[in-house]
Amino acid sequence: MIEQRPLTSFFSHFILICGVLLVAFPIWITFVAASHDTARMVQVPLPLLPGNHFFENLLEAFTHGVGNAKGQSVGLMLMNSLIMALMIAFGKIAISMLSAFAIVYFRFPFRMTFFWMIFITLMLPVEVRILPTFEVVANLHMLNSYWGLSIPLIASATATFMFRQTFLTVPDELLEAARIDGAGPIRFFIDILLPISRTNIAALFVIVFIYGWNQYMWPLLITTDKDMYTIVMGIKQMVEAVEEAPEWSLIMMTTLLAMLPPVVVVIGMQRLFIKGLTETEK
Amino acid sequence: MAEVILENITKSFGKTEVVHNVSAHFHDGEFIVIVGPSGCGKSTVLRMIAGLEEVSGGNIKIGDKLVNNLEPKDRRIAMVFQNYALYPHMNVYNNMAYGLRLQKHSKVEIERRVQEAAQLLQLGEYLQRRPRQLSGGQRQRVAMGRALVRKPEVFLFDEPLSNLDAKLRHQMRVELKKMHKNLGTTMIYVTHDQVEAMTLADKIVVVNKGRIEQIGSPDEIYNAPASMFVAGFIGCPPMNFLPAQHSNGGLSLENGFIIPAKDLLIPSDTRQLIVGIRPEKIEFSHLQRESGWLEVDIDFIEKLGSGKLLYTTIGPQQLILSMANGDDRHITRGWIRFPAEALYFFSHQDGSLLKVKSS
Repeated sequence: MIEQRPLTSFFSHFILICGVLLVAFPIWITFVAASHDTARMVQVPLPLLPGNHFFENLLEAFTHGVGNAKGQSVGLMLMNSLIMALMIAFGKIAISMLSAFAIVYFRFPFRMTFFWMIFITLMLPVEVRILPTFEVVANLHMLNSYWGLSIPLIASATATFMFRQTFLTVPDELLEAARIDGAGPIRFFIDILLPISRTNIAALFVIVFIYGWNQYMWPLLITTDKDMYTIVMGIKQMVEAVEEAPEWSLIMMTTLLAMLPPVVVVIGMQRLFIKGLTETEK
Repeated sequence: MAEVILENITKSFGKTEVVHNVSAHFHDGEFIVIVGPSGCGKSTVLRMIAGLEEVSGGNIKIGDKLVNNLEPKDRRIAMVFQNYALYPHMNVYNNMAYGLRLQKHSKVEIERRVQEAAQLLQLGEYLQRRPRQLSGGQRQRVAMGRALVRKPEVFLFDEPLSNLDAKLRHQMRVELKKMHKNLGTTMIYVTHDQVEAMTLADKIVVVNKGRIEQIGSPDEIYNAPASMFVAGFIGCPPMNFLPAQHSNGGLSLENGFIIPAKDLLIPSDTRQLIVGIRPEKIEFSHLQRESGWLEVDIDFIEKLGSGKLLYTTIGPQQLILSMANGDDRHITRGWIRFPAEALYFFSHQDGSLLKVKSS
């Protein structure tokens, strides 16, 4: 619907601007808080303009860490989060693509049963199966390790389903042409399917990376070693800092840092992301 | 170079058999067109030759090799699909080279073959383009190029021209014919378009409901159709069919008109039969004629430019006459005659051709 009346135009802009302010204001406050020293942050009224301690705080956060996670530098937590998010993202894509490949292109007994079994796991996110999953991970001695952090989160019905739908839109003739050209199943997968699903992979990567990055409960449960803390749970630990007042400026600095990688991923892959969700022509 | 032999091929999907006992012998270097209405099983036959579909029974031989259980890549065939099936993420060059790379040909050899095919198909300037940047006709050429570079012994075409517009289709048809002349390779071509069948084929295979109705050269198929189905399918506009009663030396049509048939050796026990005549064989006159001519009302006229079609009815049956241009008077009625030598007679029961010509 395209209308050019000034009143409608003003109204829609007004709503959009309100929306932007609503989203941007907390981020601005975070940034402002990160640029003052700790002392200023406990006085009322809270500042609305940035101070001049930004880089000191940055250095402090990276070298010392805060609160309960004292001595645990933000850098290490960022690294842990990054490794976990990447492992989840790549693992999810690899596993779900292969299972979708099997379900779409191979005829084997109970094919649809398997598909529905995978599909049903949609109803069983980590939070629901947290105790048994913990048990399994513990028995496999994967507590406090990157494997333990990522593997239970890798299997994904959503991604499998998405790849299945993508593969179903690939014309059968493409497979047949490849067979006549002499490509076996693996060749076909690598040479044809993988490049064709490029944009879908990118879209999924963005979603899954952020999903992995934002994991809170699972890392909280299975990491006891400070070296394995991820940034999202690290922030929570900081707020619950012992007796002393929370060091808000440092906490906010950490938050700011924690927001950065997802933002970078989204901005960097935006074009592919949109293409992957909207493109229909194969 | 190879001949293709089909021996009692059958194909079932689940319990339904879609191809029944098809046998044929295609000689080396022939251009064979398999033609039939949609859903008649012609594509299935082609796909079985290609190895994309397993045969449920019977044998397929390419050259002197039984290929029933061979993978498509080992059958020395190449196939062109209706929707081209080009790899969308590869440029034209790679589309053609992909199969050769998998066959582990040397880089030099691949380059040579692709360039050769590109030159033959006038694709030289498009080698770096992606399929989606090409027009339909160009994509079709790339698909042919991909088949060409494999240097197969048999080319298989599955309705390759159906997605093109009429003009381009004609052009590609001519190019295909030229290509066949140059290469001399066996080609098997599936289509539902009888014009393509007539123009391209050395040998036409007419398929109906999973069975072969007739195999023959275009002339044979056109002039000596084995059944009503073949007669009605090949030729445009199709052959006219008129039910008739045979009684003492004449064939009476449903409106009472009697075609003299004294010279015809129709078995005396045949009462009911069907008379067929091609639209262009019916004689027409504006002027009143005497016996042997039938007076008809012309319902309407279709002008084709090069000629015209007259539509009339005899009893409940529609009759089409094909005429050259000329007299452009508005025709509403006229007199027609069915020359005895142009008539075909088909069995009332199964539509098979009755051999009744006196000569």
